[in-house]
Amino acid sequence: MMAELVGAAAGAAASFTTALAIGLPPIQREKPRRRSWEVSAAFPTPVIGAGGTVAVCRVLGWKELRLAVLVGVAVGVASAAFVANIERVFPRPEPG
Amino acid sequence: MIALTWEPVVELATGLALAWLNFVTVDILMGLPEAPGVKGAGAIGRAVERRGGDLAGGYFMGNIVCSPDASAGTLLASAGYWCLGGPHGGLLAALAVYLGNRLCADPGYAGTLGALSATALVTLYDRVLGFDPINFVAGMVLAITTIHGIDHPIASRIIGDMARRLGRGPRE
Repeated sequence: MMAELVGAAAGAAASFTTALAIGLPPIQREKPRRRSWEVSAAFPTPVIGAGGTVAVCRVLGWKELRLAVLVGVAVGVASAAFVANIERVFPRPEPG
Repeated sequence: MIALTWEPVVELATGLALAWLNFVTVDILMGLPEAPGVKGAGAIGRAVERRGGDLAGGYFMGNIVCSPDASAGTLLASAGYWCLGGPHGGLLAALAVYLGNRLCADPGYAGTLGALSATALVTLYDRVLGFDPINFVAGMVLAITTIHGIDHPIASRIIGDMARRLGRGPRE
C-alpha cells in the first residue's frame, strides 16, 4: 500500500509540474471557479495523475517503491498532456 | 448464541454522520442547489417543489440523480478504500468519478472533491477511530437514503435551508 501511495504522490507532483511547464494556469482563472470548464494544474491534473498511477500499479502488479515512483512520474507527465487536450475527448457542452 | 454489541451500531452511526455531512456540505458549496446542470435535474427540482418541497433542495436532488456528485464520490471513495485496503483506493475512485462527471457534461468539482474529502474522512475513521471501513460504506448508503429514500419534500426543505444559510440559494 505504501509504495502505491508514494507513487500516487509522485504522480500528482509530476502532473502538476508538467502542467505548469506546458502552460496550463496554476488554478482556474474563470470565476466562479465552481462553474468553470477551464482546466488547470491544480484541477483536475493531480487527480488524474494520482488515480492513474494507482490504476497502472494495480494492473501491472508492481508493489516496489522505486517502480511505483517511476510509474508515478510517467503517468504524471501523460496526465498533464491529457488534461491539456481534454476537450478533444470530453468537449464542453453547448451553452443552453 | 449470538452476542449483540453496540460497537457496530456506533460505527454505523458515525459513518452515517460523517458521510452525510461530507456529501451535503461539498455539494452545497459546489452549488448544486443553485441551478439544474441539465434539463432533467430542473424537471426533478420543479416536481419536488410542486409536491410541497423546496426548489433549491429539488435542484440538489435532481443534480445528484443526473451526474456523479459528492454522494457518488463519498460512496465510491469509501468502497475503494475498503476494496484496496487504503487511501489509494479513494484516489482511484476520485479518478473514476471525475471521468464519470465529464461523460455527464459536468465539470466535476463536486464529485471529485467529495471523493477526495471522503478519502481523508474514511482514513481517519479507519486509522484514528479504529472502525471498520465497511461500516462507513453502509453509513453512506443510509445517508443517501435519508435524502432520496424517505420523504422528498422534507429532505428538500432541509437542504434548501442549509443552502441559503451557506449562500447557495437558487439563482433563477
